[in-house]
Amino acid sequence: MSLFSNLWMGLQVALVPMNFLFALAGVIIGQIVGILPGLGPIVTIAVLLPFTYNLEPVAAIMAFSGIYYGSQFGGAISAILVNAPGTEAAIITALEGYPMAKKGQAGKALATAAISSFVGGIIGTVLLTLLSEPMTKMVIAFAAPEYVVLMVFALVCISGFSENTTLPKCCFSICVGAAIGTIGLDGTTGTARLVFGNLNLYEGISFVILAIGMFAFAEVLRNLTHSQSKHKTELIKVSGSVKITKKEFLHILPTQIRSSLSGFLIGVLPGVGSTTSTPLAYLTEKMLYKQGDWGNGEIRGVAAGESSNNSCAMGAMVPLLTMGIPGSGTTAIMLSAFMILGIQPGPLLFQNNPEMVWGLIASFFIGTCILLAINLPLVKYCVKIVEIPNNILFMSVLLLAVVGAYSVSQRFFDVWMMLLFSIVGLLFTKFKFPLTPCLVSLLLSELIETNIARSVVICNHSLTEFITRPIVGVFMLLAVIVLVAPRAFKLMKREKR
Amino acid sequence: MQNKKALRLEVLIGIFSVVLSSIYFILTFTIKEKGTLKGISYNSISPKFLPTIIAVLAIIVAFSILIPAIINYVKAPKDLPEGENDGKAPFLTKDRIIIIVSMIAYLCVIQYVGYIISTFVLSFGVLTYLEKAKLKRNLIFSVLFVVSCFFLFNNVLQIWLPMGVLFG
Repeated sequence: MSLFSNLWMGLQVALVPMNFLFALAGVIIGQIVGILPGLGPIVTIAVLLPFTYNLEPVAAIMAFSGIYYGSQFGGAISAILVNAPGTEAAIITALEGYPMAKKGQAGKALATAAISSFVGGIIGTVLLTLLSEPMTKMVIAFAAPEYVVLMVFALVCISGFSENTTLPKCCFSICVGAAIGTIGLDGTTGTARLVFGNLNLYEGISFVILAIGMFAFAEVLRNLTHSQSKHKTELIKVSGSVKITKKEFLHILPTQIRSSLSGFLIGVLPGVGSTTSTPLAYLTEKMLYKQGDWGNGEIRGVAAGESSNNSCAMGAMVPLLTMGIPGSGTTAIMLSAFMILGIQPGPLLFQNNPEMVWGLIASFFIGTCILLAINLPLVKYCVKIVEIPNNILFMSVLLLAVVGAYSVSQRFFDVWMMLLFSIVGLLFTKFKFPLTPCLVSLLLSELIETNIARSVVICNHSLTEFITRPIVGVFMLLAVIVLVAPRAFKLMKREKR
Repeated sequence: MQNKKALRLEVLIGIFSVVLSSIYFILTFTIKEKGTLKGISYNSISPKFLPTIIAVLAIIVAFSILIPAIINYVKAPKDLPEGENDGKAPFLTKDRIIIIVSMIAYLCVIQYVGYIISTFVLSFGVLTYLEKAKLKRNLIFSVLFVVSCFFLFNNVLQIWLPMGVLFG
């Protein structure tokens, strides 16, 4: 089937009333959590996952994806009007958007953010549509040994590109996640490992419990405090209409295209998300337009950040859908949602479940258009969400986290584990151990072990045969480059100074 | 900004990482080697294989956290500030302790008292502790949230939340 007939089929699936409603609900929830600082797509998807156990998988996945890319749109609003970015990706938007709002150009800044998010989202989705089939054809040739190195490569990328921490701490976080993954019955032989006679541990520690504990509940413990309730958010009022002129649009269009392309490419790489893509897009524009009013409300800065983060979110879907490899915390939890709903992402998804996967891609186009429609005329009302009292918001997350953890297996042991992991999550953050590598490695450890067992048979118990497979060699080389190159560059820079 | 306290903390983190990974390594010896006959493995990947690799890697990584931390601490200039008041919030704040203790109490009683009563008490109690002035708002929120959540899970999603001794 050609690309267009696939997309047409996808559109028909996405426009089924039930699917459309869930995609719509997803983007609206995403928009809301994007606006609210502290709540991100990981927390939201983690606590909402139990609500989808009885749903149609296609509708549920569309809703989760909507939350993911919807939050990228919403993050800009609080960044521009409150100088409190709703998501990490919107930090760059705050740099230029907030000064614009202070100068009385809040409407223009919001319109620029919405249009740039739209352009980024559409370019990202087009690239995802074009790339997914060739990627699938390439990945379908992969056997177990290739999958092992691919997953190890993903973990190496996540540790190699991690920011605000050191490589050993990142690797330790990976080891902790993988160690948690070894608890319970071994997938290949059925042997009980590290269960200490506790029947509750035989099934292993659920990924969802770890995600809810480390991300959602830890966020509750951080934010549910006396001091938050005393803090009042100062909101800049949106004066005038939320729009930009045709001249202004043409002025920022090259920035949007460049930033979308770079954002998408960065999104495809595991471990490198919008926290890298947005500063890169911003700095590129700053270098190209030195005469701009950077730092004081430069419209190109808002366009660069927003195009880049939305396109990056679509880029992250490429490894998730075509290879079944998560590149970030959010895509990891989405992969877990796929698995819970009985879908295994990867090359076979395009063969066995084309309606679902093309429906999902088509829903990205529809969702991005809906978000533009929400953001331009309704942004003045969306902003009111920022005024929800923090304690009410985080108490809701706490209560949803409790029922969410309980509903995984309908036992309170999981809620205890969630509480334990929330304390572990707080300690990790306090001592600068990143959480995402731990989460991703827990998810991948079982897959790695199963594929190692298969590789042993495929390679006739020979390590040489394993290493000398061409794709294995390429990925191993790439892994070494990812680990060594950033450090080598840093050393070279230091020596130059 | 470097200070003695931060450097000491890094050393402690390193020691803790080494201890934790060593405990995990020791625990891997409790895993049974299924699939082996007279010491010869016919299923070359035993249940012990991955945990052992993880444990060894964790120990190496833990030492690579500890050793640079010790070097930095030893090499630090003697006039480095102590850094007692670095302005950062402590890990165990009063609010956090109260929420964690409330959660523990909640989990201990929920099966006996039931979801509705225990969750209402948790929500209303914690919110009122944090904001005494907003009593009415906290009450309305707690009642509405708990009742709608219970109805949604029990009647729509068919996930049975405990009714407790009184209702069950």
